[in-house]
Amino acid sequence: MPPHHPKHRRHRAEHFPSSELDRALASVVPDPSDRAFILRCVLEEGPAHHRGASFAILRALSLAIERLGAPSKDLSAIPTTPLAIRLPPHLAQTAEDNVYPIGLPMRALREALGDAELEAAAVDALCDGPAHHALANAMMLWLVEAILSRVETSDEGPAE
Amino acid sequence: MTLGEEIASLRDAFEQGAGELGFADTAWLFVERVAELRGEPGVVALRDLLGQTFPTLHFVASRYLSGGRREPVDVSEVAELLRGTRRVLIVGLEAAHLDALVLALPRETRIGLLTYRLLPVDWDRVLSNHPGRVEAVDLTVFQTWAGARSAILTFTYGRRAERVYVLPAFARISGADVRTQFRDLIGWDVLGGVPAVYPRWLIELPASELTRLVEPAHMEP
Amino acid sequence: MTAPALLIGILVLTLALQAWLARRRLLVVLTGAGTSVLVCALYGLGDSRALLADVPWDVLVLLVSLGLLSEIFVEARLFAVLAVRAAHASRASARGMILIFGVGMYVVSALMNNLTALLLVLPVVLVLFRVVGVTQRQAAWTLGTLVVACNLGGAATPIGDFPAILLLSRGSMGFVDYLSRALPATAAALVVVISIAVLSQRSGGRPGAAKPLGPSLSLSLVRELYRNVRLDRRLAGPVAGAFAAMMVAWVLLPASGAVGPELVAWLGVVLALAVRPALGERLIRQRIDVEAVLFLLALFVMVVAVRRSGVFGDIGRALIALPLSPAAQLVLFLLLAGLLTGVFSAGPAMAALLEVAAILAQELPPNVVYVSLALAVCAGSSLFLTAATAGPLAQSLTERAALRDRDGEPILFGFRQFVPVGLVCFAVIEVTAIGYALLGIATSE
Repeated sequence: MPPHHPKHRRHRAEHFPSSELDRALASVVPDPSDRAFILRCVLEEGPAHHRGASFAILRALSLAIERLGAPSKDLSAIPTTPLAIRLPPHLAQTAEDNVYPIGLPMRALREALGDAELEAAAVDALCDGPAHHALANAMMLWLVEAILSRVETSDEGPAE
Repeated sequence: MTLGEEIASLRDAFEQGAGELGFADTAWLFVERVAELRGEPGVVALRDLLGQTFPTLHFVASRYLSGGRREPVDVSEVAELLRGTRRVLIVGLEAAHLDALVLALPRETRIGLLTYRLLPVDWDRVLSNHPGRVEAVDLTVFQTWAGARSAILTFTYGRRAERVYVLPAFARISGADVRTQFRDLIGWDVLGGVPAVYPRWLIELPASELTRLVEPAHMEP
Repeated sequence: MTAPALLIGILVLTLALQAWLARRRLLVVLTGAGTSVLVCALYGLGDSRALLADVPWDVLVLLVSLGLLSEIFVEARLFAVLAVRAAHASRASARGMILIFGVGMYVVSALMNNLTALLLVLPVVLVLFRVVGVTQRQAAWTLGTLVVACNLGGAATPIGDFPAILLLSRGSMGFVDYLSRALPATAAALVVVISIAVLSQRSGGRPGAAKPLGPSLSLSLVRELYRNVRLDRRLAGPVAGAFAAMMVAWVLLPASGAVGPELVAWLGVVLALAVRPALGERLIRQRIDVEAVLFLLALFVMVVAVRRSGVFGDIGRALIALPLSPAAQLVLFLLLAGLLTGVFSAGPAMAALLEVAAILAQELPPNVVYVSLALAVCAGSSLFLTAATAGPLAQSLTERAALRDRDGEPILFGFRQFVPVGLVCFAVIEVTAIGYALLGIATSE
């Protein structure tokens, strides 16, 4: 996130404290500006009930990560499906750089669903809809991946 | 011709300037030239006769009469906010601010100018001031500028509590869908206060429509 | 009906229709040309291949080349820079604008495409009008003078506009022969036209009076509107060099030599475009005035068809057979040429009249006939706003600017507003043409 200069103001009311989520997201999205963009879309855009629900679930997941405590494995190796910025179809073809800085992680999904058709349908469902919805889905899945990774690490015991 | 008639006859001239230089930039240009040629009575006439039609002129003339002067454009905060941005779509037109921004941004940052304005504009002339640097962007295709490294930058004309004054063009493009297509929606205040008269030509929006608002050091309440 | 009657009927009807239906003129002339070819084919005067072979393609090459050259200078922002300088030199006064912009348009039109120049210079004039405030009379005289200055500039050099280009490419006259005669004559007419236009305007304020706000503010505004516009010297320099080389070649190479003026223009412009290849390619693809090329092509086809029928020869011989002295015959021809151009516009009139002039040139000094004809065509194209292409362009730009006078009445620049200016300018240039013709005949005897 760019430095908070006294002369420029961040205006959208920050109902939801986002620092924990920002921290939880850092291992997946290293650029602070990218994280700020994703968190704005999830926590500040869209209807209030969506923002509230997304925040509650994401915060609960990040709390689970904190409680697990164990170090996470490197998540960058997890295959992802890009999350496109939804543009009018005739403009999307000519637009550059039109994916969000976070994709949909596929490892947990594949394990959970175990069927290519089901997986494809799930990806469609998770990516569809307004951006705040799809981005919240992606964040939740990443936090689930982080939790699973920590669980795996603790199952394996301390590294020798 | 009386001073009043002479000032009143400048209406079309102001409109011409406002279209291609911006309301604030033209207001300062007119106030400074009239002050130079007709002194304070000229600025008073400018405020009273044309200020009702052009609220930014009213604001600038009033500020001039109370001792205020045009300050150099400080682009540092906006440039900082835009660091890492690949594409910046400018909404509205303020010549001095645009010039400063063009100089401040790195060459690899593309700069687009939304070619939508309520006043008549010779866009070729506007763009010829920044050859090869500022691109015309039509309202119908502005979303091709969307992206995770893209920002919209609009000029604002004062803030009252949590409401800012912007050009109608910004309302045309800042729908709920667009807000999630651009990384940032930045407001850059070019006036430093709200005009005392009815803000014709401008619309009022919640400041929360912007992700960032850059204001001058001295904002009038 | 005989073929000559049919072909001349098609030509006259097409010219009248294209003048009347200016917005459909391309459709009109292409229909006229196609019909002329059909008549020729049916009456055994030649098929389309034969008619197209007679078209002076070199004229079209010259027009396209010079048009592209103007476009490169547009890209180098030459016209915008010149217009801003002219605005400051004029001090935004009514008289200053007529004088400076009038002379400026004359010079530019003498060397380049006057439409392109007008398209870039007029916005500055219109900004000045809008900011300083303008009366209907001032607008009509200023804009009218600019249009006429474009016409005079176009007639001043062999590369200025279509009628002169046609003379050059046909080999009717050499580059220097034309330039040395037409330049002084058009310059003299310009001095008279500008003097009348300047005198039609009220003088500036009283000496010692406060500096008026309007002009002062307008100049500040123009400076701001063009604040970062600079001449692209790296483009303008080499292109100006190529243009200078073309001028030298036109002056030095013999008119009847193997390397004609169109080849000089072709190679010169290709060289100039190669200065910045990407830009050059874009200009070729996007900026060639296809409308003008098609319009002239259609006119040439119709004129070629009529020529094949022998009508022009008959008209020329009838003119010579009149019981008048050769000088009087030429004066009559010039008057008719002026009026016909006023109705049919410069391109069509010149294309047709040149055929008749060629017959008159057998009896009279050719240079006198051709230059006075070019001047008479220039006079005719200044008679009505519709007679020269610069007129409608000025009209549409003025309409778009939506100017109003001090009382809020819209400022118009259309056919009616141009009439007084046009009549005066027609008279001045036509008198110049006739005076030049009589003087030329007298000195050659």
